[in-house]
Amino acid sequence: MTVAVLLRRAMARPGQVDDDQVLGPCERGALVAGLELARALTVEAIAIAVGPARREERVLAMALRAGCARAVRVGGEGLDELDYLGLAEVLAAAATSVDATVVVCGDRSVDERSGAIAPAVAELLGWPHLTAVTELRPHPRGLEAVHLGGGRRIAVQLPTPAVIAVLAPAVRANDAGTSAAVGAPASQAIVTADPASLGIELRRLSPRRGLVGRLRPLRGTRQATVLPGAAELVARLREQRLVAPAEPADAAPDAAPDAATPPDASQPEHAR
Amino acid sequence: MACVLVHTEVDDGHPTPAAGAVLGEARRIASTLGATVYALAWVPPGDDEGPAADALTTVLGRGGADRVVLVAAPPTPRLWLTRGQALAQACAQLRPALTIFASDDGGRDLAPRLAARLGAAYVAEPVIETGPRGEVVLARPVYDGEQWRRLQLDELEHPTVVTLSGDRSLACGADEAERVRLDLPPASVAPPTTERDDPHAALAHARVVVVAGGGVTTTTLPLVAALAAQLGGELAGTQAACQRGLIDPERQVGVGARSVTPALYVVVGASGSAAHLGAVSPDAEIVAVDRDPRAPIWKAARWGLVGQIEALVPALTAALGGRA
Repeated sequence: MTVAVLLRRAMARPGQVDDDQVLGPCERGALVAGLELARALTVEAIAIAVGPARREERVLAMALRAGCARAVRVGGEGLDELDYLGLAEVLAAAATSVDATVVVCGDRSVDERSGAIAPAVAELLGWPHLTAVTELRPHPRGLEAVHLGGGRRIAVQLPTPAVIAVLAPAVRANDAGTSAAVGAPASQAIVTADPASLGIELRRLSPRRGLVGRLRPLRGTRQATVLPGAAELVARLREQRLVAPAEPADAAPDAAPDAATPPDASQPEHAR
Repeated sequence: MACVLVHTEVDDGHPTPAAGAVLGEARRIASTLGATVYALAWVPPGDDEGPAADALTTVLGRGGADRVVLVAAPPTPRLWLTRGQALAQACAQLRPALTIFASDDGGRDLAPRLAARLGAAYVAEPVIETGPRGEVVLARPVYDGEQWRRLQLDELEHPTVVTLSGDRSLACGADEAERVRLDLPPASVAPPTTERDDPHAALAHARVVVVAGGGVTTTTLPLVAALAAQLGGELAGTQAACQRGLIDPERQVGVGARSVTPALYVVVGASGSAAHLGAVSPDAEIVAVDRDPRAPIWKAARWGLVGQIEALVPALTAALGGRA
């Protein structure tokens, strides 16, 4: 049994990495959950990413430092232009190449947020999948995964092989946050594969590039309307029926103090 | 005629609010495309025939469906594991050009897998736009809301699967729907599961959510909570507020944490990062209260107040008619 962890560098813009975060919240969750599952099963966790080295090798190095036994990067022209299903085909082939029996990935990326990769990889592999997973552990029948859905936490027992889409790791109160980037420095090399070596013919996938949708910048700079006071804001909300209308005896809007003050950005109130 | 298929959850003989809203949107899209709306509704065993089925068919017809397919399914979790086989079989028979799911937990598990099965384009939570020639465009903000991905339905040679947030107006018609019987496999035997209630589930469906960000302190948190109470909304937190112990981490709104679909989303003292706002429905009207006029939140918000939280939030509560 092998656990494959699918990772992807968070992107600030198309082709541009996010300097603030290497992994999105769900990818961090996937790395943590994949490593914990591999440790519990005493098997290897193998990190897989698709994309150029300058973008994805930092992600894979982080995964190796965190405890992954190996890391595989699939690189090649045109991979970034594929839609979810084209990308899933590449990832499924990569997971097959490392003999994965459990594939763990983030439920959704922070930049595109479509949440389609895990179900699509499962479909291509012909495996069951489960999304919105908050906990993952071995079970005598395969795996037990806790799915957050329908107002309930549902512990589902799945056979392996399976694909699991993980939510962000739980935030710990009064803690600086969880990080997957722990462990000894990585000494393992990152293996590079091209799609052809995985049996993928990119030309066959090219029609799917039209299904990504045209990317357009937001026209103009959108900016909120800053209102002079609370009463004016409430009036707007009532116009739009976003809050209940004023009761006849309600004189509060006129009585409300206008507390808006000129901003003083030189005195940051809080760390953002 | 092209088919628009709507995955319809039913509760107590009626479509759920989210399913009703999505059915209404499907009606509007189908009318533009000249397509037929099929509502595929999951009902308890026995309710797929007889008076209960007739009553539901009538309700769904008034809600926008032209044809209704009822699938008997035991009350199992709404997952591909339990429903995928019947859903895929229905699509194989109806061959929908467009399949629409409510963007809830079940829809997010089912829709992308169905899309992959159909080789379809997949668009999660788009805004529906109508172009100058009446064309239907699915647009969704990506990359921190600074870019939009736009997909024009009539340009696609593939079927399309879409999830939509539930904050949409209902269709209100008097049309009769016709019930259609498909030869479907029974819903799959559910995998062994154990369930426990999620005490914070109301957050996902709240009409109003007030979120405390990193700019909220232990002193100002009660003011934010009072505003949430005055609005009849749910109080939540950003990652920064939850990490500092101000808000229960189970109430964190963010990508990979809780997703929310409110009509009104009030953000107090939060910068508006992509990891936070990515979990808020694009249909939500965002109101910001913050002292930094250059924070990214102002690009996402519609209205706001700039100033000190300790002054503005009580003023807002009072203006709404509450005690500040």
